[in-house]
Amino acid sequence: MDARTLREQILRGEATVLETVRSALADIDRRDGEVHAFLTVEKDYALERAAALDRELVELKAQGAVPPPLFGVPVAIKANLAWQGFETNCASRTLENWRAPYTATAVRRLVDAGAVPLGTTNMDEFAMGSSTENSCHGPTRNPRDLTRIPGGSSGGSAAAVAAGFVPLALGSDTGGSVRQPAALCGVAGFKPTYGRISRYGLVAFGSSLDQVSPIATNVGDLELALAILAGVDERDATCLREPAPRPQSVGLAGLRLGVLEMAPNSLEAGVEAAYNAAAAALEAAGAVLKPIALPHGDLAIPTYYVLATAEASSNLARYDGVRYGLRAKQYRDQAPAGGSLQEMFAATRRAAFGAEVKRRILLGTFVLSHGYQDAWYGRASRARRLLAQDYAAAFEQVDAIISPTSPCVAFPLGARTADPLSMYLADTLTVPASLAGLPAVSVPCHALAEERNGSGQDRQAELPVGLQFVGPAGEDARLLAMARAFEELAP
Amino acid sequence: MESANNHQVGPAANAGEAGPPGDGQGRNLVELVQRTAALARLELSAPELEEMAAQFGRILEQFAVLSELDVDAVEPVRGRAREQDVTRGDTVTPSLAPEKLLERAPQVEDGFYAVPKTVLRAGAEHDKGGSSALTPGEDRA
Repeated sequence: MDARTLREQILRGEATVLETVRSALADIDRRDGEVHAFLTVEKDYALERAAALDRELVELKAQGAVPPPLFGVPVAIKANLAWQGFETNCASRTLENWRAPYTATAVRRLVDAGAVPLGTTNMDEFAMGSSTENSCHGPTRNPRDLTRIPGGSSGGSAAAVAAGFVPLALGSDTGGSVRQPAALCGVAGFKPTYGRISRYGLVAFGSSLDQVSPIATNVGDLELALAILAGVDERDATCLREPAPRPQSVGLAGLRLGVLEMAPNSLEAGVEAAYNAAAAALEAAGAVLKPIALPHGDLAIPTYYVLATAEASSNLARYDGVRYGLRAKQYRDQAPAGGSLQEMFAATRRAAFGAEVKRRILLGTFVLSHGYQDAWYGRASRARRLLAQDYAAAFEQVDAIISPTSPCVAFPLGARTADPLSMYLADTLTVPASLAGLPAVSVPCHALAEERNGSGQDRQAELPVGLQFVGPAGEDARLLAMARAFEELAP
Repeated sequence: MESANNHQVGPAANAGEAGPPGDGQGRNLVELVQRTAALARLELSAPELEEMAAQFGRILEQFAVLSELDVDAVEPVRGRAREQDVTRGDTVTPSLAPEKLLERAPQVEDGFYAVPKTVLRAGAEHDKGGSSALTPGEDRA
């Protein structure tokens, strides 16, 4: 059941908020042992808030007032969004037991809209990864197939929605961290235009790329989430100075859609079949398809990994064991015997971070270091402009660009952990829009491919595939309207 | 930070021309990762160092397409924070209470963050770790 239906049910008196929240918590109790979508479940808070909302509803009804748009809806929050009083641990040993002293703007807006956060969701440590296997608390499993990864880094949020624990969850998307897990779990995920949703309270990874991004069971709920989450915030200097966009309506007839040109054999067969069926369905509904190339598309992965790691190396310098978070054990006592401040930093960071975070800090430090900065960081910053120009040229010809969200379906747990590069390459189709700051949404499209549904024995052929729409900067509402029109084509 | 003159790590990694390291550069990669780790204030175990060096080689090789790029005429993207100026009203708003922040610190002394001694005695040089990012405080021990 989606967020809007759940609220309607509560307003009609078919279920109280308390019953709704109790049932979600019971479901998590029963099934999250195997999925592991949640890192923390704040049961007492959720039940107390639910009871308070039930009392509020009586008053609102008496006054004839309309309850806010997410009234009574249970939601989940990625563990890198500050939530005052609750553990916000980023799936890192560094921040184990760290309770946020303030609340992120996005979380605040959800709560103000009547939502009931149930807890925080699992993720790759500091959002670095594409499979949620880089969590210090162990991986999340894909609810569609528990032997497989849910995607990442917002794998816990995508799994929480796919498992039916909550209809709506917050994630963050730096290079595809919401779109890719949404695609792999068979739900909808939306990365807005850079700056559309305030980053205040989002633990920084790559600040010029990070966006708070919602995950839901359908596009309609994403549109609602955008209306609630977007808008000016004085606490984020990169936040757009415009109000939240209103939902739009777009017909597929006559819509000009660019079909992204990809290298031959770059998609898994199952993904290709689902994608072709989706494109055919769009065309049958009247959309005009046109091949579109991004001439600098092959630069996207190196450009992204140079810039994102450079920004990460700077952002993660703050975890040094001085002001908060973990400090290496041998330096925890009063007046530690021997050891310099520098040694304390280095020992603390060794104990605090997992392998992927260390790898990215090292890469980022390297591409910014004396003698290498121009060759790596400098060139990547320029290549980023070339990619943005490719998109600008494309959007003179088409309204949006479609491609699969991920070149592969959910892979088995452990399949790529030994080779970081193979994990990076899984982001090929999501990082270009991130670098250009463009809105992009992933919608499930596997149900359209009949030939995939035919072969019941082939487990892989039943796994979800996402269709990605990328639109011009600022056109978030129009892009979501297109995605909704596509969604309505699926049975 | 370290002086610049010890940054030579082999022919493919001269300043300004840091291309992909090829075969026989394992040692150089280990040194490169070791020096980078020092800059990043990150201690690595010996096996970690070897593994990271091998991965660095493969990753940089894959990313070498960037070093072949002729982009001198292209303006770099600098990020919105540096492209637009944003100001807000000069008004006093509540901020977090110091004690709330201090209660999250690993070690606190008399209302300050406590760290290992950075100054041994008056006039003594800083410890071997080099200059600190923090202003050395008084010797409170």
